[in-house]
Amino acid sequence: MLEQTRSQQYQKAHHRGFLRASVSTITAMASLEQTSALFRSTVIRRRSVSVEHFEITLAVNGFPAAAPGQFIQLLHHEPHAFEMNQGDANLIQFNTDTISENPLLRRPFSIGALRRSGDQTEIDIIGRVIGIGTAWLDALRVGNSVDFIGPLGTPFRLPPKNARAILVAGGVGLPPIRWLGMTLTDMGVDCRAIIGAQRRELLPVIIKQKPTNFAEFQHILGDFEPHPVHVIVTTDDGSFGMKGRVTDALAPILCGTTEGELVQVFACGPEPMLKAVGELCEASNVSCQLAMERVMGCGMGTCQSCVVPVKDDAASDGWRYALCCREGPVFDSRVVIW
Amino acid sequence: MPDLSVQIGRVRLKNPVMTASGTCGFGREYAPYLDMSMLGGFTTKSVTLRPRKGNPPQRIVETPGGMLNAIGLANVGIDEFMKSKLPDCQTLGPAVFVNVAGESIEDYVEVCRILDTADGLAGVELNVSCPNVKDGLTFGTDAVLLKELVAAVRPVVKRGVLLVKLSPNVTDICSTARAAIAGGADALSMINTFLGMKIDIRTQRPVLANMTGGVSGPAIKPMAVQMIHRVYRDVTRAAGVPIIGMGGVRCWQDAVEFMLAGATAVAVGTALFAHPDAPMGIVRGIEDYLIQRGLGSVNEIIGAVHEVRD
Repeated sequence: MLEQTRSQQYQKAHHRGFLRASVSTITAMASLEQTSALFRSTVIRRRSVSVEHFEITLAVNGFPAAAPGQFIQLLHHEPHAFEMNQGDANLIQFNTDTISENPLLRRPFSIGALRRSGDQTEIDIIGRVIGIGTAWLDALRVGNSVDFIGPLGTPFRLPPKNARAILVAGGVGLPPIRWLGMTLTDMGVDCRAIIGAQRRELLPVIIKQKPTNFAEFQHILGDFEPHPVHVIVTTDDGSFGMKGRVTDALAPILCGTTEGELVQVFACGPEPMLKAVGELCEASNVSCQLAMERVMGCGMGTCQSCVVPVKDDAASDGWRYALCCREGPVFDSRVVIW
Repeated sequence: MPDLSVQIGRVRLKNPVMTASGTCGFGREYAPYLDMSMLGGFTTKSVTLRPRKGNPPQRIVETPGGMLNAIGLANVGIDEFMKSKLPDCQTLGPAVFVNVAGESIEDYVEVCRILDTADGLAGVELNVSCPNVKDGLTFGTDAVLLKELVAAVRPVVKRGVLLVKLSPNVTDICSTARAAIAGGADALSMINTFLGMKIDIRTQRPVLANMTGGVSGPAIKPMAVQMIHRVYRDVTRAAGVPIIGMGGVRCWQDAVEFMLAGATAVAVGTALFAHPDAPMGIVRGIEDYLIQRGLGSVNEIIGAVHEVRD
C-alpha cells in the first residue's frame, strides 16, 4: 500500500517535472538562448510521401514557440519503464540490463510543418528508412507515442515583406523548406521553391500535376497546401521535371534579378548542394541561409560533436567550430568554411 | 526518510548522484530539462590551459549499446572559463568539480593553481585518461608518471578535493589506483572511456576523423562494475579513499549496483544525451530502495557486496 502511494506520488512528481520544464521555458526565455522541453507526443497521422519517404504527424500539448529551421530530437524506440518512471522501486523485479535502448541516442528531425489549435500543436516530420531507428518510426501507427525534445536550434532569419524569397530543397532537405514556405506565404512574402532529387523516387513530395514548362515556377505540388507556393522540380536523371541540379534552375533566376530587387535564398539538402547554392549566391551577391545537417549526440549543446567550421574575425586564426545544434542548423552561407 | 548524503574527501554531497565530465557541458545546457540543484554533484567538461578547437568532425558515432567519441578536448581555455563559465556553474546548486586536462605536468599544475583561486569550488578532477590526446594517455596508463603528476598537482589544490579519473585502458587498474592515491588523490573517478574504433565498410575509412575514440554507455557497464569492485576490495577500502563510479549508468538500478561494488557516488554520463532528466529518477529510486530495505543511510550499501554473508 505504501509502495502504491509512493509510486503514484512519483508519477505525479514526474508529470510535474514535465510541466515545470515547459513553464520554465517561458520564464527563462531571457536567460537562455533556446527554450525547449521534453515531450511525450501521440502519432495522429501517418502517410507514405514517396516510395522511400514517410511522414508522421505528432500531437503534443504546451509546445513552446518555434520557427522554421528548428528541429526536434526523437527517441527512436518505445520509452521503457525505467525511462518513464525511474524512481519506482517496485521495478527491482525488473531486469533493466535486458532493456536495450536501440538506438541509444536521439536523432534530429527538422520540423516540416507546425499547426496550433488551442494548447495542442501538430508537428509534421518526414523521414527515410535507413536503419533500425527510422524503420521503427516508419512502423508507427496512429495512437502510438513518441518521446522528443524540442524545439531546438536557431531558425531561419525571416526576410522583410518586400523581399523575394527563393527556397531550395534537395531530397530529404524538404521539411524545413516546406514550413518556411508556408510561413513566408502567410507573411505575404513572394516565395517560390526549387526542389530537386537524384530521381523521381527520391522526391519526398506530393505531385498534384505534371509541370507544363520545366523551367517555370508552377503550382504543381500539394506539399505547401493550402499555400500556393510555385515550384520548379529538378531530377538528376530527368525522371521528373527539369533534368539537372537545383543550381541549374537557380542560376538563371539569380542572373535575372533586377537592380534594387531584394532577393534572399534559403536552402536545405546534402552538403555538396548547399556548397554549390551558397557559392552561386555569393557570386550573385545574394543573401543565402543554409540549414545544415550533422551527426548529433544530444542536440542540446553538451556533447560538442556536431561542429561546423565557420569564419570568425574574433578568433586569432580567423575561424572556429560552431555547434550545428545551437548556433545552427541555419548558417549564413558566407560564414561556412567548406 | 533515509539519509542520502555521502562524503567525498572534505566535501559533503547531499546525494550520491552526479553528472560525468563532458556529458553535461558547463551546467546550463540542460536547465530546461533537469533541475540541476537536485544533483549531488556536477563535473564540468575538460578545461585546458589554452583554448582548444577540438578534433575535426565526424566526432561521434553510435556503437552497439553505446557510443564512440573523439571530441578532442574542445574548450574555451582556463582564462575564458574563469570569466564566463565558472560564475554560472557556481550558481547551479550542487557541488561543482572542474575537470582538468593537459599535455604536460606544468599545464595541469597551472590550470589547477588558477582554479584554486576560485571560491565555492568543490574540487578538481584530473583527466589523465582521455584517449584522444597523445600525452594524456601516458599519464593515465603509466603508474610512475601518474604518481608524479598527482604529486605535482597536490600542493596547488589547497581548497578543493583532488579527484583522479582513471583510465580503463590498462592491464592492472589497481596499480594506477595505488599510484593516484600515493600521489595524494582524495578520491578516484572510475572509469573513463575504453579505446575503440569504427570503420565504414562503404568508404573503407574510419568513421571518426580522429580514427579512434572512447567507448561509453551501457556497453561498458559490466567492465566498470568489475573494476570498481576490484579497486575497492584491493586498494581503496583500506586506504579510506572514496570512488565515484561511472560508465554506463542510466537508471537507479545501475547506480545501486555501482554502490554495492564499492562506489560512494555515481555519475551519469552518456545516458544524459538521450535522457537529460535521468538523474531525478535515479535519486528517487535510490531513496525508495533504501526505504524498501529499511536502511537509514545510503552509506550502508557502499561496498555491501564485499560483506561476508552466512
